[in-house]
Amino acid sequence: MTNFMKINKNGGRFSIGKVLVILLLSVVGCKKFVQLPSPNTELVSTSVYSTNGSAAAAMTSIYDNMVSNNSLSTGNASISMLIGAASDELRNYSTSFPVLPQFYTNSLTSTQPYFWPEIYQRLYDANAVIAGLQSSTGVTVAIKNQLTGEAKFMRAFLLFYAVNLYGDVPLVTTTDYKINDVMGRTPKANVYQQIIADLKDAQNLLSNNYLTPAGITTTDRIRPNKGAATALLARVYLYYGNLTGDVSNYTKADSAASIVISNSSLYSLSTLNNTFLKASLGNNEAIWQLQPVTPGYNTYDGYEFVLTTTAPGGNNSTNPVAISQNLVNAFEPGDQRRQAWVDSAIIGGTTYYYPYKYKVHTYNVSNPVTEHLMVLRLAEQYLIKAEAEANGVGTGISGAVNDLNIIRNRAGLSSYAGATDKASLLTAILHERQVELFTEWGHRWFDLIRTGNINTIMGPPGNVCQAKGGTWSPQWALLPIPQSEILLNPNLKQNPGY
Amino acid sequence: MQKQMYNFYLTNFVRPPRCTTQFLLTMKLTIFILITAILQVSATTYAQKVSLKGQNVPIDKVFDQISQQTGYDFLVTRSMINLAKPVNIDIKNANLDDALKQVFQGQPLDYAIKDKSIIVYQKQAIPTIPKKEASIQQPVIVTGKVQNELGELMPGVTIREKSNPNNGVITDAKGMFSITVSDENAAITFSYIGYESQELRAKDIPIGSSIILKPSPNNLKEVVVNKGYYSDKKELETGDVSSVSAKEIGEQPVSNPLAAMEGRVPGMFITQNTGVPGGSFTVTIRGKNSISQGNDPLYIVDGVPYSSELLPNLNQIGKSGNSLDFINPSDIESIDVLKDADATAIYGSRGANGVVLITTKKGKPGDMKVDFNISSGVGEVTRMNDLLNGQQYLQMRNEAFKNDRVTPSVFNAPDLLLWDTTRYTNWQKLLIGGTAKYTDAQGSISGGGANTQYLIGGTYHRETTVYPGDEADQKAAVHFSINSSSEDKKFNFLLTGNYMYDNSNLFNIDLVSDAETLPPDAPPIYNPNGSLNWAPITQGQSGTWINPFSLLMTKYNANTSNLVGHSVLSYNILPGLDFSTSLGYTVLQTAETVTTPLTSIDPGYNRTSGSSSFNNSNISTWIIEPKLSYKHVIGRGVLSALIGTTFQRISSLGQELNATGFTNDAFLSDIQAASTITPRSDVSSIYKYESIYGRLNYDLDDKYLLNLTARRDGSSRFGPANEFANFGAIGAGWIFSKESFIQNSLPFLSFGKIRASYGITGNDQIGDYSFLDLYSNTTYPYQGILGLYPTTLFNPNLQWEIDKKLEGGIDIGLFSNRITFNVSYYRSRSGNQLVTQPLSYVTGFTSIAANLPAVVQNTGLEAALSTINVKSKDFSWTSSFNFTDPKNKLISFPGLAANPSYKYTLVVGQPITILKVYHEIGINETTGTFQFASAGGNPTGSPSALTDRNTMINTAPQFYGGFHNSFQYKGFQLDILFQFVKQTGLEYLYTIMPGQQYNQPVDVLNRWTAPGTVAKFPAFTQNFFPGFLSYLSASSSDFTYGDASYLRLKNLSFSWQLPEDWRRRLHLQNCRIYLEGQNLLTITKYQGLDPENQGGTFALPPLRVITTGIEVTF
Repeated sequence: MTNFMKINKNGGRFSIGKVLVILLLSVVGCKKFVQLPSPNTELVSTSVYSTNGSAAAAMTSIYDNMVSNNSLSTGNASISMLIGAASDELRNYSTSFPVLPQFYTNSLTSTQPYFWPEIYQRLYDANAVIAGLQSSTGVTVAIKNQLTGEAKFMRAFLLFYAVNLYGDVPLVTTTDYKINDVMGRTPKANVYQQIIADLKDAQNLLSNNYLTPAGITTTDRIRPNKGAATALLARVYLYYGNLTGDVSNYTKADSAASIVISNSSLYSLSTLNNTFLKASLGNNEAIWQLQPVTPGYNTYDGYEFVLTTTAPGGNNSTNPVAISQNLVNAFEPGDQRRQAWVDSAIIGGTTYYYPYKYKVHTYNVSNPVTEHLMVLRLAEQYLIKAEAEANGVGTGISGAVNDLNIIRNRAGLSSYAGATDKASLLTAILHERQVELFTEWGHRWFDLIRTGNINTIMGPPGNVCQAKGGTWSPQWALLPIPQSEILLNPNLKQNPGY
Repeated sequence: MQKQMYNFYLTNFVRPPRCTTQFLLTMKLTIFILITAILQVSATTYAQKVSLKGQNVPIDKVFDQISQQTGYDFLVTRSMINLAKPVNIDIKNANLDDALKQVFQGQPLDYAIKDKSIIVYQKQAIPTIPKKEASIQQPVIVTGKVQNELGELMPGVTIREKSNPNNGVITDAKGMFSITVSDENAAITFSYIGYESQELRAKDIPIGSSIILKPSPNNLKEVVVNKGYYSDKKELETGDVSSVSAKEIGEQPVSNPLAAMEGRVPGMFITQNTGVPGGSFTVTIRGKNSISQGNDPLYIVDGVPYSSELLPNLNQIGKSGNSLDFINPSDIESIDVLKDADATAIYGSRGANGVVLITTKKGKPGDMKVDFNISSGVGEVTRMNDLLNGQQYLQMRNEAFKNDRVTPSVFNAPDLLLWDTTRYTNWQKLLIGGTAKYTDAQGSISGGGANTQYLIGGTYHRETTVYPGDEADQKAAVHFSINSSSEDKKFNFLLTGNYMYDNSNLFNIDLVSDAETLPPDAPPIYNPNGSLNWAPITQGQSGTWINPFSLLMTKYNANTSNLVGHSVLSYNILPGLDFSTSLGYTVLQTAETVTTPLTSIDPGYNRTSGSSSFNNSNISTWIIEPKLSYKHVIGRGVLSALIGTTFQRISSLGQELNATGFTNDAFLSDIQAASTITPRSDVSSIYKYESIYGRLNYDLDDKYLLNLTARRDGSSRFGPANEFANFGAIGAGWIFSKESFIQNSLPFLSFGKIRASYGITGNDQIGDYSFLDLYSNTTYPYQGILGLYPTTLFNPNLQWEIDKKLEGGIDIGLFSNRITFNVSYYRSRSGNQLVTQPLSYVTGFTSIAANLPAVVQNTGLEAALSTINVKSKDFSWTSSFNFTDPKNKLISFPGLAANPSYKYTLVVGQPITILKVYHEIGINETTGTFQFASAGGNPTGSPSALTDRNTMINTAPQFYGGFHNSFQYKGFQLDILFQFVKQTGLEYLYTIMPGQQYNQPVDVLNRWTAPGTVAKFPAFTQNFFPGFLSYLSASSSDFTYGDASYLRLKNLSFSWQLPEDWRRRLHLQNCRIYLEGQNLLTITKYQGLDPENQGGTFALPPLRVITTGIEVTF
């Protein structure tokens, strides 16, 4: 063995030194060793926003999660169902869903979170898309613009519902949980300004056309486009005008709605029976729809609202509600919407009226999807324009009557013949909205609140609340902030009355 | 290639003089290295006789020959060789010294023998090594052999010259030795692990004597403690390590090494969760440190970190199994449990919950040894519950309906109206009353010479259960170990491999539930034609019962293979300085299928197809650990230093698929024949880990001990802001029994040590990827693509839990260590707890995995006492006793009141193992329902979960321990281990309301019957409301908890070694016949099947097992 010699030759220390250097180097240079790619079953955010495909998938998940069952968009925990029950549209028969009777009798409690968690989950998702794309280098500019536009649209859309359901709400524009976890409530006007800013950005970023996740033009209208942003902006200006009393907002609402209405190559009113079909079946009234995703189902609205042979409520968890007598009575004689959009079933000797806007109720795996969940449609734009004009902007009263008549005539009704003073017209438009937009996204409830009519309808003299078994208080117009939130974040203050 | 057994110095060491010091140093180092090599590695001794013949042989060739024949190294330079004349020589069997005299005759060179080296120098030069002993006194060669008390030859015994401890040899494979000592009066010591050392003068050892060593179980001096990266002599260690030996494991008929450790290790609490083979265990070392993350110790098998958990699987018995079940207990040489900071801090972020080192058997130098060990036995449930008989059951049911004022119908009382109420089946006896059969066969071959040792062994193990049917868990294991070193002992190589293949076709569902709850009048199992009986069937409905024998048709099959491969390459660079690399790989693979044929499904369900589930999982780990260790005498003490690094990667993959839509039951195990395949789970994760660790130890006079350890860890489980962490510990010890004032005043005190340690370790069992903001796929596509949505928030600060461990201990040995006694007090405070921190919905999430400054404290006292009660020629009796008194306390938890995940379960100042339950205050004498104390102290029948759970029950053990006695009389050996635990536990069955269609323990007859009845149980009722709700409250109250303390005869082992002359006649080294028993006797007040697993109606209790066997060694 000659190792001894070798070591002697090298003076020994060199070898030790070498070994030590190797040992130390191996650790010093190895911060990377413990940094991992994401697991195969999930993706880490930085890789999500590194390609067009996965970035589009992140944006798509927001729509996807919004239309799954029991979401705020559709089904028996939706705004359409619960807020419809809270207002004068629906009659509740169910005892098995604890929150439905609470909404119905306007006796909400702060122990239930209601829509709050989902709104903020989806807001986080939208903020994550905006932030992820901002720092992304792998996503092409066109897709980045499209997705950022969609995310800003969605942020505006969600904040719009948050502010209308809860009043002042935390305005989250970041994904940083440390900021969001302690955020207090932002005044409504500031939230509206953010909504308006987001929608203007969305208008600039989004295409005129309806696109696929890959940015290719398609006949489906299930991702928002520039028209959707403009249509929502029209609604937001109208609401903001109601809130602030600043007439310039009506001007902006009028012009935004006019832009959508005048885009006749894309948008036109459909026949009543076709209004809720998916856009690719030729329904040009659709401005933005959501595609049902659960196999075997069309919309959950159709599944939950349409009655067959079983009476609503009781042990029947599918159909908890029917249309209230109040709404049935609201239709003028000859209103074809009463026939096309309301149907009835006589079960056990009782007649139940039910919303029949969506006509497909059945579940069957082989069912084709023919209906998409309508979120924004052209008829509302006419009514927004009419209401703005009735407030004295644009073409004023004559324009308002004209736009109102477009909706009335489509429903087979004669042109408006009532008084044309502002107040009468606003009343007529409110009524028209009631019979046009019922069981769609809580329109009726928000209309009553923003026009200041909620207390006279729900309380005396309307006494809707009492008729439903509740006791009305003006404070019930807003939902309670979940008590658990206030415990976790002392900066959040409860709405009065809860 | 010709081996050069001597070394040339290329430098001229005589002149210039400045080189002399270099030479001297080199010489010292050379000697040191040789001694070290001889002492540390099992070495050889060479014949001292030399035969040489030749004319004009160059002197280097002569040196070479002598080296080869004697093993002595020549230390010589090339220039000296050049000076020398060729040699003419003809000698036969000459002494080395005589031979050398002849060789050096007339040469310009002379020589000196120093230890095993022959130092050559020029005649005119002054030898640089003082060779007083060699030159003035006459060295003496002592030869002989060493044997144990049974007359067996003992290889590997260390023999040293007392006055010169550097002079030492080791006995060879035949127990032979030869040592040259300075003179005939020199004292020579003989020592061997586990034996009493002997000291003899050279002149008292005639050539070829036999030296007999006596075993000494309490000899601290020779016991070496494995601490993973290094080992310490038990006497000199500053930390707290408990060990379980191969003998202790071997005398227990168990298939999981964890089962063999129960009751033996202070501070380690082990619960066997089920008596079904392959079931899971819960192991905690010194209490639970983590509120919501893993509390498993770090397992290391032969240097390779070993997963403590299995991936999700299809086995629903006993919480899905235990990975250590795939380590063969009979291949284990020792299990060392590292407990305090001193021992565990070198494991850094993984050491907080203790470290369990499992070392498998290695070959030992000696003749080839062939060992066979064959045993078989039976197992059964330790006890049955006393259940209602048929009449009592019917009485209960009828009374329930009467109380409820409900008329029994075929829907709510098929057991009364449709079933044959005269039938009686003892379901316990039928379903869990069987006899489990054990068969175990092992064989091994081991042996080796001084440089290479080997061991190869194989085991077959088959175990059935107490369930009906002959389903079995079968294991086949292979173990090998090769240990080899180069001729000069500088390079060492160790390779070990453990492979186990396990096939189990036991059920994946526990039959205990049916055994305990099926009504005694349930219908017959089989129809007259042999098919399963589902009748009677209510009109248009499915069956009125679920036939438990349908499980017999549900086939479960699990094939698991486990490989643990490990190798160590080490090289002695310089004396005292070693470089080694440990390389390890382990892979645990499982493939499972469960097939549920149509024939096993109630025909009332109108199913058209059977179904099957497939699960595949794979956990693989590799680890590379290079390290450098150094040992040097500095001043009056010895300095040991160690530095090393670790690179590790664990990958876990698992997939579960569910298949239905088969046209025929025959296709169930063919997934291609299914029309619908649903993925059930998909696991894919990687864990990477690297670190640098070190140790510095100084031992002054073998009296004052200081041990410093440190580790810097980087882990992929930690967030990017905290990827690396530092850990470390300081340990100190004082062996006061070596102080002369103690020795003079307390002569009976043979050993006394005070030790203390403090350090910081971590717990990284926080799951992979938990800090990342991950996105998952949506279930259904939208616009043709699956969405990706965020599932977790990004927490760059996520890090390990920090555990600060403090320990103080005293180790005492009395009367030559016939009595040894250890007491340790420990305190560990685990902070930076990784808990679910609740978040406002506004963040988009309800919680985030985050570190909170909550602190959990574990304190405790551990004591161990070992005594040699009787020790005579034919009879010996030794006892050992261990005791642990653990305490756990939540010291702080900021924001507990607002934390929805913990506010109902934790209380600051209380153990984290508490349960907050209602206080049951007896049965209302008027209504016959349960009453509970409300927060205001008033009785209530419907307590509030938010305000009334004010009674705390601690389910952690209050104290536990073991008591072991070992008797030996001639060839007979008897070992008895008692285990005791004081604890409160969940009692049996009280969660099922008496009166429903379930059988009950006879206790329930003590029930309320009419106003004024004072009873333990409420009125029988079969109503869901209010009876069942009331019972739910009762099951969350102190009503269902009781004393689950027990004293158990855990293990008894009796063996008889055939007398020596019989064995000699049969040419057997060893022949032992034995009887072993596990869980033989349990003394407890516990209400239920078994207080250990408290399995209620869910898990089979650990079985009573008795086996007999024979062990033979050729």
